[in-house]
Amino acid sequence: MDERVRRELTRLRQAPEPPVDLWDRVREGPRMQRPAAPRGRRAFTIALALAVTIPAISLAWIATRPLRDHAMSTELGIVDVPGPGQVAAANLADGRPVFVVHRDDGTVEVIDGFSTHVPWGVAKLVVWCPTSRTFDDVFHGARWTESGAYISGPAPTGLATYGSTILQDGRLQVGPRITPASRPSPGHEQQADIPLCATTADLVYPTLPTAASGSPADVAASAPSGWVAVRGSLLEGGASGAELCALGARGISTCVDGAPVAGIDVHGLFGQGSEVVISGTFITRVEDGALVDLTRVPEPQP
Amino acid sequence: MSEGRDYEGLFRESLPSLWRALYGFTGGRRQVAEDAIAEAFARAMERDRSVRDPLPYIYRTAFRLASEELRLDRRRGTLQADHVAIEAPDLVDLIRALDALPPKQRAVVILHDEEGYAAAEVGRLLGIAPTTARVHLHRGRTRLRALLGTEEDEEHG
Repeated sequence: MDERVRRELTRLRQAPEPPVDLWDRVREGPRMQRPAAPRGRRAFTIALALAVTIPAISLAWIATRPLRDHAMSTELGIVDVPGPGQVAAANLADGRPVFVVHRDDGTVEVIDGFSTHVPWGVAKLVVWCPTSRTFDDVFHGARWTESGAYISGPAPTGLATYGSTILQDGRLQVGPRITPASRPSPGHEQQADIPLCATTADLVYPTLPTAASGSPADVAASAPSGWVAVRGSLLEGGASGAELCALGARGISTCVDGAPVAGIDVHGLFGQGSEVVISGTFITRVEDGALVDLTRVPEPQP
Repeated sequence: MSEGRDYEGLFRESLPSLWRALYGFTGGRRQVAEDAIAEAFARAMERDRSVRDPLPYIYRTAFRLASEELRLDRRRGTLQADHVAIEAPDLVDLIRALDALPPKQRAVVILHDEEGYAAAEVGRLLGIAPTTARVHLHRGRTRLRALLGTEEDEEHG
């Protein structure tokens, strides 16, 4: 039944002989090129691989975004962005005051709210002046540009800034903190032509982490995490040498509801003969029952 | 190069059968058959230690290389078998019929019905199960019979 097939196949014996030098070819080559996929098919394979992997990675990236946002927000915070050309005060997750600068060209920058001039350990917040487009230390006159670069006054450096990322909802994810540059050496200032601030009504003041309610003693006892606002009078006395008392105290003998303040250069601040009292609103943090990083808050003049 | 195995002896001994099988398998495309056989032997010698039984390895490799080469030639549009008519006129019908078979069926039919290997041996040479070899054999023969029969009828019709 398969004889016909077999008989036909025997014809293969009439096939021409193989080349006599085939064994030499085995030993000495040339070898066969490994067949590469034709260019068209290779391109198609690469395109297909990209078409599958890119959306997959994108989806994974989008799906894990809330997790990543949360991880970042626990670090420094998420803030709102004002309209183009505007500067707004904001607070990081721990209450730290910052300013968000939205320039006309669309770029956005986060500038620290703290003056880098900290005489005798008492820090100060800055204000934004829209007419000169500068950050000003209204207590001692230091000034910085809208990017935080040093212009003039007693500050040793520019303002600290923060890296930031714009989120899908248009808000800004803040971090990390960037150490400010030192002020230029004398004679190398390049900001001499920046005008003085010509307004008091339109200044943008820093926003406080909390409303300033409760006495310094209450604040110290409540031991909040992060920054807290408090009103009081700073004067010499107490265990740490400096005490923040309820507003109105004229000296340690009239201090009520006070809390010790750490980190103050007591001799520098108070060793000037006359009795020094600094009254007003402060922001501070609480460590071991004492107020630390005590910072004066500029307030609109009534 | 192996010191232990006599590859040259194996080559001389197996070449006639291997050559016919590859010549038939490639539809008389000598160059493809030569390339595949030489390359299969060279690779067997290269991988001597990891090749347990050289002859089946050489058959499998040669058939696979030839198969790939034919597929590429077909895609490139350079597949031609016209030279068979000049080189071996008696083979034209057979070659044309074999060409119409799928590669596995073609290889099994040649090894079994021409070279005389048993189905189990064919399976061993091609790296497939004996039952699979029998299935390919049955289908290949049926197809070949039909192809050759039709042509014969046409000749005499």
